Amino acid sequence: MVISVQIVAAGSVSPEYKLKAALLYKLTRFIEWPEQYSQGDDGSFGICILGQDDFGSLLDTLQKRYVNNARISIHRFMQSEGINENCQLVFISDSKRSYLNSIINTLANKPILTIGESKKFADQGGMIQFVLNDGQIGFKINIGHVHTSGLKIAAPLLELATIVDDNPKGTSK
Amino acid sequence: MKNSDLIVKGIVISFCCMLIGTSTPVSAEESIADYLDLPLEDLLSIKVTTVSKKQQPLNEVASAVYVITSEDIRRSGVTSIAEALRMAPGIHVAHIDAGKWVITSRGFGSQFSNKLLVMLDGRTVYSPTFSGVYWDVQDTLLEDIDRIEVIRGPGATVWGANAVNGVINIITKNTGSTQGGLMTAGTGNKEKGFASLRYGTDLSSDITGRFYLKYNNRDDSYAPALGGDAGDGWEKTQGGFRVDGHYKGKYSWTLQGDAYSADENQRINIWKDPSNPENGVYAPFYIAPATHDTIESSGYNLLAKWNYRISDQASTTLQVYFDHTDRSEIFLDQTHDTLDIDFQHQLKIVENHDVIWGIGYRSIRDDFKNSFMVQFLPDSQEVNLYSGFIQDEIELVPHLVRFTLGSKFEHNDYTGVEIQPSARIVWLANEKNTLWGAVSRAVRTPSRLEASSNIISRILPLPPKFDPVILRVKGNKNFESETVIAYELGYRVQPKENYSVDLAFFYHDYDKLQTFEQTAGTSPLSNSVFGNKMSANSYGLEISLDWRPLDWWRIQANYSFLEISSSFDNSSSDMSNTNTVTKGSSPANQFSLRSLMDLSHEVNFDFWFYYVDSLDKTSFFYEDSVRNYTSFNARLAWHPVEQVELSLTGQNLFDSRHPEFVGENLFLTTEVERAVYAQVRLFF
Repeated sequence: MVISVQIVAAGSVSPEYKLKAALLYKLTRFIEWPEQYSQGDDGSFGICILGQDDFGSLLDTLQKRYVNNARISIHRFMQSEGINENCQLVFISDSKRSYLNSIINTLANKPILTIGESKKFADQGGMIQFVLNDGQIGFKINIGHVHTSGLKIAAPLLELATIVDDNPKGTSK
Repeated sequence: MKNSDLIVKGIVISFCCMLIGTSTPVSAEESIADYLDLPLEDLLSIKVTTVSKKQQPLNEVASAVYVITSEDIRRSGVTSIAEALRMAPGIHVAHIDAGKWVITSRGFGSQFSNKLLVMLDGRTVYSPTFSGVYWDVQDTLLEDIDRIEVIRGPGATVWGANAVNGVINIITKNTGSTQGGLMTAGTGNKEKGFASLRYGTDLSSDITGRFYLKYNNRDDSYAPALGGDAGDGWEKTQGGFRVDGHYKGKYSWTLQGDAYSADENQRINIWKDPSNPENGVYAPFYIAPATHDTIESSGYNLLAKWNYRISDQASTTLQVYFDHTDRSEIFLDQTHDTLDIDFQHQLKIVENHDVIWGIGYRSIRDDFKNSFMVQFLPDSQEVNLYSGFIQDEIELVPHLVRFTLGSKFEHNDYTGVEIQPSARIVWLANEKNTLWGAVSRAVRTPSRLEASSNIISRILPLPPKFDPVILRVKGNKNFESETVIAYELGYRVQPKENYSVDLAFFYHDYDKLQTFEQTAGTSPLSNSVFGNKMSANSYGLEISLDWRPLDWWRIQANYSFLEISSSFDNSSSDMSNTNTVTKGSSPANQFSLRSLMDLSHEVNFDFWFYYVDSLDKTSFFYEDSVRNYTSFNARLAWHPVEQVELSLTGQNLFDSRHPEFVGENLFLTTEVERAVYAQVRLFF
């Protein structure tokens, strides 16, 4: 028979993930990391993928680009324990949705930008959540958690997003 | 001209379906580079369609599935597809000699085990001669394998005949992800020398391709009967290519092919014709023991596949392949030409019903050059197989309960129409727990061996003045399909982010199993003919555990248990131990433990040990049992730079040698020895 057992997607990456891959890079232009945390020990800007990697080989093309003069390097982790100082940005795939609370707790108050795609990602304390409305991708931003981590978000990005603020100490715009 | 009608019909259907469709705003195939320099607002205004995942996540599948990943293959240090299958729970892999394996799922192993469907990129590779697999020539560049899906239990509803005890689906990577060059080379005491080259590149903006070449030279195993080399070393050269293309994000196609040539050696016990006076030296038994023989094996195949995505919820696929194989050894030369055409259509007729249906046609032409020992009558024939299937996956309770009902309908030239239905249900209790159950029926249709062979089983000397008697096993035109009804239950749980457990229980009820019926009652001088006079049932469980105690350390463990009991029908006159071999050829317990460690970014250290229980009796002719064994394997790999990997692999380290299986009376029993090899991988 022609189909494989319907287990894993093989072949090309879906358009959704092409766009998400580009957005991961684009978002770095709107975020300011504290000086000493804007690159890893190895001098590169680490984009880390946690859980199932739906981007195929797309992200590898980002390794030719720079963020704040640090060359991007891509790291993939199956487990949140592996996330280290070489990650400036972590994309948490939906495959990890059952464990989001503990993952976000682990990363809380660290200057690491957390981006996710799960339904309640921002409500659970993730910083930026991709949302899909009628075929278009938008953002939800948990402004409180961004502030407590020491990252700064540029205003133009906030204007494009839905804001969640669950942190009484945080200052919303 | 029924055949050509069907082909035309298949093509017409697929084209008419390809004309319907909706436009998708974004092609799935633009490079991300075009996006990176667009303003954020523009990116956010792009519309995307999400591809519906007909491919379900592993934890939602309602069957006993285990996936061997490309990383598993690389890090286990295995050097063949056959050996890679040891990583899956419930699969028994055993060497008969350096180039022959017995591989079974849920039992029924023998030199000619025949209840497994094996596919390489959708091409069925079991031999129509005996429904088993010549594992020596099922190969591709191991680094190009994306994954091996191992399904235990029947998979006949979608896949078709022979998927009685399991389906093995070897899937290679899309060429989009094998760009650039790869060279590997290695040497060791048993893997005397091996090398491979692969190069992948863009052929145009939406076509990618690759080609590969590989060579293996393997050493003899050990033969206790000879007190030394078994004379079964072999070498093989293989090459192939694959091209993938896509068009407008809706059409994708693949064209691929391979060609191989193998020179193998074996030592076999040859029966000599007593009527030829020259053979007087071999009297009284007329056997030339452990005679050196060569196997010349070669083949090529070409496969084309078109896929058209009509919408998010509908697609059609058409696949055509041609496969040619040659195999010649002292007792038989065989040639097969297979043409296979398959069409499939997946659609959502109404909400919550995911329907997939298909039709297929296969033609197999064989040609045998018979010998005194082994004959197929007629020595050449063509058989046709027509098949259709339909399966409906119903969301009984959205996101919670899924029920799948389907059946395969096949018509083959031996037994006519075969119906193979299945019902599967899966309950996605929550994101951490999945429960599934299934009832299915499958058949193993006759092969040339049961239908039309004529094989010498032994030559018996009689008192002087009488000629020796030649006893034969003969084919039976009325041989029926073997059947199984399987009841399965499974549970998957992932209590924590870093570990998961997969459990499967099964009970299989077999009927009309193959026997050797004596034609002259209980006389020791009786010939036998293939019959269907045995039933059996088996039950067991398979557990697989995946645990990452640390991000740099993964542990993978499997355990399986199997119990088979069989009984002859009252009318059976089988005197060939079929019953004992059925029970005695599969290990009751198997255990495997793998540890994969990334000691640093540059160094991996992995070890793997597996235990296989003893086998009471694996051969119809020999009485030997096979003792249990534990194999310890380790691999150390070092990447000084990203483009280079140096590795050292040791196999069966704690054991100088052990037997794994005893084959039939033609063959010498051999033992697998300790092996060590070093390998270099170079990416460029």
